[in-house]
Amino acid sequence: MEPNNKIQNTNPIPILYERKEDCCGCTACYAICPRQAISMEDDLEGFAYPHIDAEKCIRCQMCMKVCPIKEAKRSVTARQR
Amino acid sequence: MNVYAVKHKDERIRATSRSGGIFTAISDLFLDGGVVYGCVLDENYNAIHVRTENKTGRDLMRGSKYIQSRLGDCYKQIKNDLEDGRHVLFSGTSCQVAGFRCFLKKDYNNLLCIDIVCHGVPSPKVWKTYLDWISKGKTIINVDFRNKKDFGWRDHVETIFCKNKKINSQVWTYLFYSHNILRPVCYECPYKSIDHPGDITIADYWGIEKACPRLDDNKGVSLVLVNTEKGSLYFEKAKNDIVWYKTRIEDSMQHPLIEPEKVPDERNQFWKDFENKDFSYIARKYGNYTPLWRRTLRKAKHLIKKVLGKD
Ligand SMILES: Cc1cc2nc3c(=O)[nH]c(=O)nc-3n(C[C@H](O)[C@H](O)[C@H](O)COP(=O)(O)OP(=O)(O)OC[C@H]3O[C@@H](n4cnc5c(N)ncnc54)[C@H](O)[C@@H]3O)c2cc1C
Ligand code: SF4
Ligand code: SF4
Ligand code: SF4
Repeated sequence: MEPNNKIQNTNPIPILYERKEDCCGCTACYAICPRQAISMEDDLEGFAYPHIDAEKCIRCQMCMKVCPIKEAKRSVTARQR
Repeated sequence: MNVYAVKHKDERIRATSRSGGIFTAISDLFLDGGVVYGCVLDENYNAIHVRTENKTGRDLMRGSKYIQSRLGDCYKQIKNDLEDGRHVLFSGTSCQVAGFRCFLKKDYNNLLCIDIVCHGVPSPKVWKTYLDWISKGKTIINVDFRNKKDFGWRDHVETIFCKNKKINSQVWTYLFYSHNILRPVCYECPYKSIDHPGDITIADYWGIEKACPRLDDNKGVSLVLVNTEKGSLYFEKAKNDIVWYKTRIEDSMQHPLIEPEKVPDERNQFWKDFENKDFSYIARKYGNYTPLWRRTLRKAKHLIKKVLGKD
């Protein structure tokens, strides 16, 4: 891929989860990624979490939009407002 | 939402299902040209999600596997089936169903989702370590996470079938229920209410003795929540194969329908121990395991007391 491609998109590389409690390992992000930039890798406890390959990622943010845990937590916050 | 207590009419099916066999009654509706996705054990006893079009494949999905299953490329595969116009049943934990719906972004008429009520999924890594320990190097030929045939539906005993040997144990049950080995997200699970992402939600009917005593024979009854119109359509079609009663949600409120489990105080210690100690230590400390020599000693002491007339 041309290096230019990356510079055009100023979005950051997504952070799919900040705490382990925010990821259920459902593979939705892995499955939606148009560049196969995400792999599911085991942590020390033996649970699979998504890992983004920065080289392959085009920062389209699609993975962030399909996450059920983010969606559920968003709707909880919305309800609380 | 409608709530039902259900058992399959075929006792052989109920005996091999986790609870009342509702999964079989619904998935049967898809075996005539449709596709079923669900969780099976692979040849190394890892839980994985697979696709099947036939009864043999479907029957392997029966029975709860108390470990987190790996979905692999199922989401994409199911989407292809849906786009091809196939009738698809997807069954999995609530978060697996919710994730799949987010991935699809739209509803498909030809898709039915069943989610299973779960209070958390245990670590596949601890499971493998446990299996190696309990089988002591013997070849395992089958695993039953809940041996209903020998112990009934309420007694949670797992059986590991090895060549020439059948090992009954409750170490996995205890580890599971200690909640030390659950995936971290499960302590904050967003699906611990009566709102579920599946068209139909299935569970063990805990509280059946009160909700519908006439069905209670300790062989397993399913709690079934029919959440959507589509779910109700399929449930109607499955009625031929099942005995069902309408029940009240108030009589069916097991803990996982109310709130997630709490993080145990000893969780960090557990994982430290798991990294550093051998599994016998883990089994004794967290799995309520008593080694054979200690059990024998206990029996011997008891016997001596009896002989001496001190009991
Ligand atoms: C990890 C786990 C925790 C559970 N915790 C509870 C609980 O707290 N309370 C409760 O009432 N019920 C719980 N169950 C669900 C329940 O035991 C049964 O799924 C339900 O009673 C259905 O019974 P059945 O007779 O129709 O099912 P069966 O025919 O035995 O159903 C099997 C179904 O479960 C699915 N399945 C099995 N293992 C897994 C897995 N590891 N991941 C995803 N899907 C799987 C299969 O795909 C299939 O759809 C749990 C199940 C699992 C797997
Ligand atoms: S931002 Fe786009 S390319 Fe990058 S990992 Fe997410 S889905 Fe893949
Ligand atoms: S979609 Fe969200 S919950 Fe699912 S694997 Fe990706 S980050 Fe984890
Ligand atoms: S408890 Fe919740 S987050 Fe954990 S596996 Fe079950 S549905 Fe998913």
